[in-house]
Amino acid sequence: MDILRRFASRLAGMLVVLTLSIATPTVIQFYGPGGENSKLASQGVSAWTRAKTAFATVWPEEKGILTFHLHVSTMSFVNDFFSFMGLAIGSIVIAAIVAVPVGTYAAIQQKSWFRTVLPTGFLVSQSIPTYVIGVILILLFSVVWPILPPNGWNSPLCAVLPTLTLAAGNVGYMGKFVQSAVSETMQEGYILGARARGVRKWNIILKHAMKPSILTTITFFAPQIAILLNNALTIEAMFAVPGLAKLFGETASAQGMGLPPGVGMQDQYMVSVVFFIFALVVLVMNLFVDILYRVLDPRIARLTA
Amino acid sequence: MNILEIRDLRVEIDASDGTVHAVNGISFDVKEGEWLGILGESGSGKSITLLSILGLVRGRGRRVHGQAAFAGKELLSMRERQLRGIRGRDIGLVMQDVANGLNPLVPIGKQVMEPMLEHSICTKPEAARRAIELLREVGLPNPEWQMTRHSFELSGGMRQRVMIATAIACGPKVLFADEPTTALDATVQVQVLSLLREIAARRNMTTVMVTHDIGVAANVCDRVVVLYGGMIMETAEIDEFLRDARHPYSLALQSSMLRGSRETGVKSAIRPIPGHARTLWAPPVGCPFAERCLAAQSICHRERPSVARLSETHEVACHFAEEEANHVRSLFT
Amino acid sequence: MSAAYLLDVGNVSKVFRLQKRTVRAVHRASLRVREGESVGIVGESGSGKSTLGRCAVGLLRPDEGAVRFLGTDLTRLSNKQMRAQRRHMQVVFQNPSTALNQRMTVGRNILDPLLIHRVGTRMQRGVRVFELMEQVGLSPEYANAFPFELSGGQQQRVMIARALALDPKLLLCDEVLSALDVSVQAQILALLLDLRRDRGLSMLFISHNLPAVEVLSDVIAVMYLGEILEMGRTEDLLANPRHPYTRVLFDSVLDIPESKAARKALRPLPGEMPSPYEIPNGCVFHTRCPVAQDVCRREVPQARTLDDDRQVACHYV
Repeated sequence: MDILRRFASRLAGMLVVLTLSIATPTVIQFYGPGGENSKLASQGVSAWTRAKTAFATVWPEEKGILTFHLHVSTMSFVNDFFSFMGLAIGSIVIAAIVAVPVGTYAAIQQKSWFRTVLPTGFLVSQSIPTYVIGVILILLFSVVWPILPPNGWNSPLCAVLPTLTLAAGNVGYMGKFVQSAVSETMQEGYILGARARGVRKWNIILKHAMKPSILTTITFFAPQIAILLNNALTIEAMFAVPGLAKLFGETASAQGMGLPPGVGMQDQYMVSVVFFIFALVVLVMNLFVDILYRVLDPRIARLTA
Repeated sequence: MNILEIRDLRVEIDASDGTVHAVNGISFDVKEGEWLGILGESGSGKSITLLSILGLVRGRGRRVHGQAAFAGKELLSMRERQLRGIRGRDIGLVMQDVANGLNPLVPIGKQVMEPMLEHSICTKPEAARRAIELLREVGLPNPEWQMTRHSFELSGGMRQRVMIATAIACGPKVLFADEPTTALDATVQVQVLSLLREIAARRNMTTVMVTHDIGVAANVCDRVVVLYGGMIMETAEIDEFLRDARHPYSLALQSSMLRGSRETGVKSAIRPIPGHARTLWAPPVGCPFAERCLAAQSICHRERPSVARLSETHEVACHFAEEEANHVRSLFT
Repeated sequence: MSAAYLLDVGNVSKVFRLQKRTVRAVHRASLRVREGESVGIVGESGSGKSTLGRCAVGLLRPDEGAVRFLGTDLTRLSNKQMRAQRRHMQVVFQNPSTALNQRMTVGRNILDPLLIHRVGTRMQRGVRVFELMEQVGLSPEYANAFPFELSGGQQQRVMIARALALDPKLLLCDEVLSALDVSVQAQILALLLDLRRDRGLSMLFISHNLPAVEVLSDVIAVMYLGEILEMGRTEDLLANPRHPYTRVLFDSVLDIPESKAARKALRPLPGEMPSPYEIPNGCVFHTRCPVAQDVCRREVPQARTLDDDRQVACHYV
């Protein structure tokens, strides 16, 4: 019962954020430089009427908020959305698959060269900008050894390079974090306790150290999802993936070009829509992380029940 | 019969600004079936002694020298794989860390079963059955239900009981208890102590208990080893220790043990020893206690005292052990 | 009558709310501290002794009850008035390494309250810092050291010096010995005894270290699950504990026997302190009490005052 109430209040919060995410870009565009506001003001329209117009743009009478969304969902952009999400999630999964074992190994490894080489690798991966990694990968796998297409989106192979590029940047970040999380966990009293019970080294890592380390890693990375999505936008543009970046760029620039009012209005919706989608993705991912947290950590489940 | 023989144990641990000489050559025996207390304050090297015997002080920047023979087998030179077979199976460890000694994410039942499975003592269902019995033995009410609970749902006393259950799961011959009651409340302390004593007696287990609390040692131990600065100050049967402790540090510990007004009727004056135990960045030149000792002479700072044997069971490492015992005692009491 | 008391805590209750669950930390606790007197509060973890201590010096606002300090009710003061009162009531906490500002030198840490309350001239304050350091047994050379360069015992001395800087009338010591080594505990305890003798300082001494409380307190209050079960003058309470819990608690302090043969049997009190979320009906101690009867399960025993300031909350006294 309590969980349901908690879930409902969470949903209500999400709705507020989503509404704001629709309203904010529209209002910004309306009041921003070169926006509708300055034009109307120069025509001598009163501030109150202008504000009403602004509201009407967010909430047009003839297309209620519902039709607006129905409208959105039928648009071509659904495809763009899925390619974008595929890229983002795929890169997280790949980064985690590499970072978790490598980071763990770096944390427990006693040999000194290993303790230097891996962290340096992580540092390099972190400090090279994603687009440089992208260029290097294109050079390697499309030019020097042409086995993968450098751009486009017409075969599954096309997804490989952008996903890898995005993942490569995250591996360092995540790996370094996993490494420090595992080293910290290995200092805990219960690890010493497990060793004193004669538990095998690998069982100590897998059964005792892994879960808490992953929990701290998730805690750290959940708020980073928005940043990750931003990176995904850059990479999309670079590999000419028809995703949200393309859509966002096109609609936003169409706005700036001062197209006729009918077209402009349509694109204004598009900007709002992309904004809305971003907000939605971040919210859903955070919700997912929270659920994951509940599943992994009995303390959360028990103490909030 | 000695079940454990420690010879010239030395432990060095590298820290960021030097090497800590935590244990500086200690030797003692543990007789089968006895309850040995290792007494000392923090930094005296008592916990690290237990852990290094179990091979838990290994790895980069940590050096353990000397010998520790368990039932004739030399532990310190043993490979990790063999030593793992001894930890938890032949020697169990109860830790001080009540708050964090159990994994908060693993149900306690699994943690009690773990040593039996790791040492391939029995099958999983059998281990589960035995775990329930163990939880019952350590006094957890409704053990079947407790199996699925987590450590954060238990009180400090209950957690310590579970830790005792994990330590005795494989029926070890020796139990190491590292400050097992320090983190607990007074009434719980008595509960856990009497439980430990009961279990040790029933299972005929040899117990080595590290403690800073003379009250605890005096009530359960057969023999004590007093440590300071990683060296043995005094070894004695408990009766000898209570009646005739010779080392100034033993006397200081006894006098700094607070006693209420109940027995004496008047509030006894507290005469604390000055100073505090320091980290040893080099092995001590003279007696490690010399800088705090009220009876110290110049020789104490220069030369390590040799061990004086006052009886078959009573040894004191003090330059003045055999003379002026009463004079030294008067300084402390 | 109440003017004779420095501190008069009357029927104080404090409830904490955690995620809709309520924890009854302190329930209708009353205690009084006379000028120059030291009152010890003992109890196991979760007994509410720290919460009561904090209510008593105005660090927490109780939900019910009054806290009269020199005749003023602290619960009715505004934050600003409270701040003015605070210089008369200082606190020393358990963990000096977190309670001291680690980025300030020892001298600056001790100087801090003097600056906050704008006491004296610059020169006078400087002199005062060295005076205080001497009083707590810290050599003046430590004034320019940082807390982390000091041992735990020395840091606790700095805490005490800082608490004494404003010449408080009341010192709350909340588990000040727990983080220290045995021999250092004795040093700090000796220091506190000296301070009491030399300055006539009144103290609220909260500790689970029973022998320390016995040594330092004129009056001891025994707490269990947020309630004061028994209170009385130290010698009297120890010689003749009335409440079953007091008896058990003081029995759990292990005496040093003369020899192995003279050991007394360990007689542990069975069971555990109930969770503060589920306070038992009737007497809070009835679930573990060796002499509990039906009436103990039904009715809450009222605290009754016996002779000599003795106060007991038990049906069978």
